[in-house]
Amino acid sequence: MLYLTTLEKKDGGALGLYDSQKSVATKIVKRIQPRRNSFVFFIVSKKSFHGVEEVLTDKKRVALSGWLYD
Amino acid sequence: MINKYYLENPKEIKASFREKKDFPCVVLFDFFEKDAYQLIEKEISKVSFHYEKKPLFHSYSSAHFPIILKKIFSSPECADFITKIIGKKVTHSRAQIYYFSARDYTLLNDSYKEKAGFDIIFDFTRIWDSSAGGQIMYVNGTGDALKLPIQPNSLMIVRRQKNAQRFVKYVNHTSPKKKRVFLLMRI
Repeated sequence: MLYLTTLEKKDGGALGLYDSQKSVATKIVKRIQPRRNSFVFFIVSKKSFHGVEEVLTDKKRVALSGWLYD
Repeated sequence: MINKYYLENPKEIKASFREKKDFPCVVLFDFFEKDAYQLIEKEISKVSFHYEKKPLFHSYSSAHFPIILKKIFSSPECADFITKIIGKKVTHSRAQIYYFSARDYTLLNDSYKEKAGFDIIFDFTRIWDSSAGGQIMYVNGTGDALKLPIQPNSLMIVRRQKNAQRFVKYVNHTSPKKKRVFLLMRI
């Protein structure tokens, strides 16, 4: 994911990465705030879960996202 | 106890319930008379809820149905009225009270699939701006959806059809400190 805008913590919109048990998401263990021109990548598997938290501001959250397959 | 207009017009309500083919439902505002509803509200304010979050399924608080409210909803007056509307005697039901606040939701999930039947929903939510979310929604996979209104003292009866699923829209940050409380009885 390439972030094109920045959101502060108070603005919400964090990328949340979840812990999981038996391939079921349990809780967010890492939050990443979008920051302009930052690049985030992670492995997608049956036990990896992520989500975007609610944006609490009128600012825009703009990101480019994509998937790579082997 | 029940609004006299509803007690006197069950045929019209039943007809209205049946005419909606995709999502048969009926919404009855001001369902209980004022005094009865005040008593119910008082009981609801005493309920202690238990919070539960399973990210892929739901985030909400819930509580068992208090005995005194169970007595009201299973009273002959209520039971007979519901029987007249759905055309079936209620022999078995599961009831729970749900409390949603900011950041709560339920998601559509295959493991939530239920047998066809009826949902009886009674709303206790006092002041609610619909832009805050929290609406109970029904979808059937065709792109059509039913969105139930949020208003206190309203009874909603929905026929759960084979492919229909229910979810509660995410409650956003514009509802701080506001509680969305409703009873869901599944028949």
